Amino acid sequence: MKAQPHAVETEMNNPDSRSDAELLRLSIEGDESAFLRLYERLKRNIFRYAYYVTASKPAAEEITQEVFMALLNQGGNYREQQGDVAGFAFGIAKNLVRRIRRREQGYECLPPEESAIPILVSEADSVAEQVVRNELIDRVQTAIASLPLHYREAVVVCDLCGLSYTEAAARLRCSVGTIRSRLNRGHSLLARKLKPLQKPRADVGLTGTEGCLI
Amino acid sequence: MSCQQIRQHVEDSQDGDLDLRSFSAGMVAHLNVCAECKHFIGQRRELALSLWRVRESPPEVPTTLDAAVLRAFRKRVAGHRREPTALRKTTDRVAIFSYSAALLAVAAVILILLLPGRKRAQRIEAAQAPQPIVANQLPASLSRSAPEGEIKQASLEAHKKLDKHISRRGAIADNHSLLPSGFTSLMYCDRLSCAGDMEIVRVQLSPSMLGLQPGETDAAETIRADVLVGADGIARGIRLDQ
Repeated sequence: MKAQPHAVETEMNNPDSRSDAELLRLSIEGDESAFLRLYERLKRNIFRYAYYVTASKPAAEEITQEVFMALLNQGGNYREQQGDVAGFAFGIAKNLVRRIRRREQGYECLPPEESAIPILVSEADSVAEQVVRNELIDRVQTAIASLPLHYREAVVVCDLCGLSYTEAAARLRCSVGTIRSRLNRGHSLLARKLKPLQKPRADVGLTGTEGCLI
Repeated sequence: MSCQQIRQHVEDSQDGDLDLRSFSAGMVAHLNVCAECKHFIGQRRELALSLWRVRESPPEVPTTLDAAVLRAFRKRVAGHRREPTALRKTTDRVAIFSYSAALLAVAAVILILLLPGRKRAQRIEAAQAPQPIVANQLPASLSRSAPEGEIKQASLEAHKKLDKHISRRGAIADNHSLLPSGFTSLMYCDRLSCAGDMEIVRVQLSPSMLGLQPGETDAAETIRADVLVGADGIARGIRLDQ
């Protein structure tokens, strides 16, 4: 059976079938379609990470844009053996977050504007439910933003970006044990910060803490 | 089963694996009697639910960001395409500057070599100074005395005056030992300036050239002297002939 050169060529030129590393190489060379494909693949996670860690949409936008420009400018330093492109981009985003944090350390945050609070409307929920949900999301995001950076990063990466412990460890360049420990500590702090939201349970009898410390 | 084990189980489970079905019978039994652990589990479950809600409502990437990133990409690509021309222009400028600098340097070197200030000054001095009568040029470190008949005695006063005059000029010369004996230094002498082969030139001078008054010596007489000249043509010392 004869090979179909046209089909093979089409498949090779199709950016969807290419790896991130190849798309990055083509992007550096100026291939716009490859760059757009790579951008589509990575932008959501980077934007989400930046948004949750900085708790600021403009900062998240700035970081996302800077990450892609840095990928183009420093992409030559990327080595496939050291990890995937997403991890490389995540490392750049992490550094940018720290730089922005240092830059804005001297400033005091103003309370968020009303328009900055996301209004999530779903047809399945009633208006009251939507309001309660939006309020809850806002409170959780505020609580996350108030965590120390290393706990915040662990919570964002594992709980909000949905990475496994191993992936998170690779992204944050630490051990799985460290991730686990930071996540646990972050959860404890978050639970404490969100305590007023949680109602006391009447069905649980108080037996005293001494009984639990067996 | 202890509280510590319950907490360890919760901490080890990722993604809020807090379903009671995943708990062992011992854990469930402990939770039934331990309010603290039950509260802890409930708290963590609520937190997991809250985080899940946040995760399910991710922020949308604004379209303005897409446009900005694409614009930045196109700008970069355009900049890279223009770079060769810009680079060429820069290289041309650098080359022009380098050539100009090299030409200036060569001109400066030629100027220094052809018209050195010292030699020019010496030439001017030589042109203005009275021309000595060169009798003989002797090999270094050898002096030749003139025939007795040709030498006329100058007056003692004239010699004294001349000595004083010469010693005034050679006051800065602090190292007479570098010159042959009998010579009075005419310039500062050290191992650099007075080293090497030198010649003795015999000259005859009229007393007036040495600043002597006509009455102090016979105007018709001439004073003979040996001048010690270095390889560069500059006189190092002088010795009056007796």
